[in-house]
Order: sequence, then structure tokens, then C-alpha cells
Amino acid sequence: MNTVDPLVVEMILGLPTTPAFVANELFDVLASNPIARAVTPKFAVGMNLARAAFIDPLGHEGMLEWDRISDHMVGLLKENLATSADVLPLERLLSELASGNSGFTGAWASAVIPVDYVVALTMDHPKVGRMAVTYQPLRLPATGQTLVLGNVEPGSESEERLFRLAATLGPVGS
Amino acid sequence: MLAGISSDYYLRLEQAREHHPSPAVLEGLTRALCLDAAAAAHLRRLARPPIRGTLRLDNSVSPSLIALIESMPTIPTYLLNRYLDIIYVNRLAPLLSPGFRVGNNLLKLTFHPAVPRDAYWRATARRTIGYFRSSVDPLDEGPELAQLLSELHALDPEFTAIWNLHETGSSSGYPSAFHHKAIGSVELRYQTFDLPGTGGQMLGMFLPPPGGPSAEKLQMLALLADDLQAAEGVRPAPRKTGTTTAE
Repeated sequence: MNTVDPLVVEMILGLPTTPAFVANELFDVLASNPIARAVTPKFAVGMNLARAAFIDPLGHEGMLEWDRISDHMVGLLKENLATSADVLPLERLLSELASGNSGFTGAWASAVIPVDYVVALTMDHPKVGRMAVTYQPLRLPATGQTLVLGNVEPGSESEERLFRLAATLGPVGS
Repeated sequence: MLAGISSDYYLRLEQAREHHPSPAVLEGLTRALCLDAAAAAHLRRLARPPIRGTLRLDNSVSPSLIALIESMPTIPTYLLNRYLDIIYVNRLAPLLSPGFRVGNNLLKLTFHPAVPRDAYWRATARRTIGYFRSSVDPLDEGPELAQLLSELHALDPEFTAIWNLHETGSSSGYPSAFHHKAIGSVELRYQTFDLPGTGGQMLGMFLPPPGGPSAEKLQMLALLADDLQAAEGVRPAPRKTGTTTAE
């Protein structure tokens, strides 16, 4: 199911300083807000985050502790394969990832389903510098979709940098 | 056979002599019984052994989740555990409805004797119970669940009647109307999100429908919440709301 509830789309568009995107079980980005796309172009609609991680050579440029993040993603794919209502597209994606990159096969073999789903990700942003963003997944019931919201620690340098990035985007709705 | 399985196999499933139907069988049953997405998800949950055992009930709220909720000050939000106990609220939630406070249970609030039993109530009550049934683990035999169910059965025979319908579903996306003396009536839509890895915690948010006056009313309510907090001598959180401007 790749249609995102318009209410959820409207909600994330109304969040000027909260990077937000909706992804399906394959990690296809189905919707995102401007601040998410400013944090990384990987959050643009139509991108696949698993492909970006394992096939795109620039997939992890600027991302610190990349192995931890990609292992986490593979763990989530493993869980989706076990729980999804429709495993065929997932199996296609997995074989694509396995044939495209030897790193994926190794990661898959050792991947475990995550215990903690919150991901803390530090990145070097080309415009504003280093930011630590915590990503919280929120599952939309009965859709196979996940809304991911990023937040920064209140009062931190990361917050100041995220706000500075948001200020370059102009007012909401423009 | 519409479900693509033999009548003998179906009989074995129905009589619980077969416990592990394959995904293909579940898909066939979903099609044959014309189940909607929520009911199909419930069927899969019933049929498949959980990846992990039932997690211990955890009412602790992670600091990063609190920071996230507080970064969206114009959206009334509460956090529930899997028994629909409210375990966290932001400042806007109790302004919408005084019952939205930590320690209250959403089902007990619904079946409180003082709540008028009109058609709107009945529709909401059925959805809340349907949502509860689809979120609670079918294998949960914990004392908390037994205790809650016995309290609800004692509270109102109508709970028993609706519970026995065995309906499942999502309460997401339904209209929810509130009245506040400062902003008048406000029409919102209720959206739930499941938090993976928390033992069944769920976030409930009341979102303004696109294009209507509700978003503006919520912004007014958020300003009011700031004033209330200032009056109590607490400094409002230094969070930017609305659009940001270049410094």
C-alpha cells in the first residue's frame, strides 16, 4: 500500500523543524517534508533507503557510524520479511541488494531484529555542519507504513543547526 | 473453494487441529472472507507465533520520545500503553478533554457512568474496543488485562455487549469533536501510531483536517497553554512554533 493518508501528509508538512518521512516495508520514501529533504536528499519521495545504503556509492557520505545504521536497517528488513502481508516485493528487493553488493549478504547473515527501534544518527551536513538527530519510528496501523520523525535535543548545538537549516527553507506552505 | 484451500483443511483450522497456516492460506482466507486491512492484520497476528514473547508492561517513556512530542506543541497528543492507560500527555491534550491525564484509562473514561450514551458515543466506544482488541496480544494472560476486563464488565453491561461482538479495527482517521470555552468547537481527526519495541505503547494524536479552521484554533490553544503555564510560574519551553525566521 503506497498511498499515504492525506491527513498524515498534511501533518508532516505542518512541521517546520521536525524532519519527517513516511516509508513502506521496502524503505521506499512515500512522503517527506522540506526539512527532511534538507537534512538529506535521501529522504526525497521515490528514494529507496535500503538501495541508497547498499548500492548507491554515495549512500553513506557524511554519515557517521554507518555500519550500525545499515545493520539496523537490515534487521528491520528481516523483521518485515517475517511479518509482511506481501513478501514478494521484499524478496525482489533483497535479491537485488544481494546481487549488487557483497556487503549486504554479510550484513543479512548476521542481522538481528532490533530491540530498540529508535535510531540516533550523527551526520556532517554540507551546509550547517555536524548534527545529531534521533529518529523515532511510528507505525501507521494496518498499512505497513512507518512515519519516521527526527528530533534534536532541546537547547543543543544540533538544534541550533537544524533551526538554521529550516530558516533557509522559507515559511511553511511556500 | 474461494480461499484456495480444501474443505478438509479448513475444518482442521476451524477445529484448531491445525495451528500454523502458511501465509498463502491466510491470504486465501482474507480474500474469501473479504476482510479489510485491519481484520487481515489481526488474522495474521492470531495465526503467527510472535517473533518475541509478550513483552513486559513498560510504562516508562523515553526522554527522546518526550522531546519529540514536545517539539510539536500545537498537536494534542497522548501516549498509551497496550491496555490504553494514559502514560504521557502534552499540554494541549487535557485542554481538549479534562480526562486526558496520566493515570486515566481510555476505556474506563469511555464507559464512565457520567458520559452521555448518544450515537456519537456508541460509534466511538465500538471503535475504541475494536482498536483495543486488535492491539492487545491474543496470547496475553497477564493479571493486568484480566483486572482491566473485569472492571470494564462491572462498569457497564454495554461494554460486555460490544466486547462480545469480537470486532477489530483501527480508530485512526475518525473525526473527533471537542469544545473549549476559549476557542469554541474544534473538529479534529484522531490518528494512532504504534511504537515498535516498547511492549505495545501507542501514540494518539488529534490532527486538524487540511484546509479547515482547526489548525488555527489549535495554535490559539497552544498560546493559551503557554499563558497557563506562565501563570503557574513555570517558564514555557523555549521551542519555536510555526514558521522560523532567519536570525
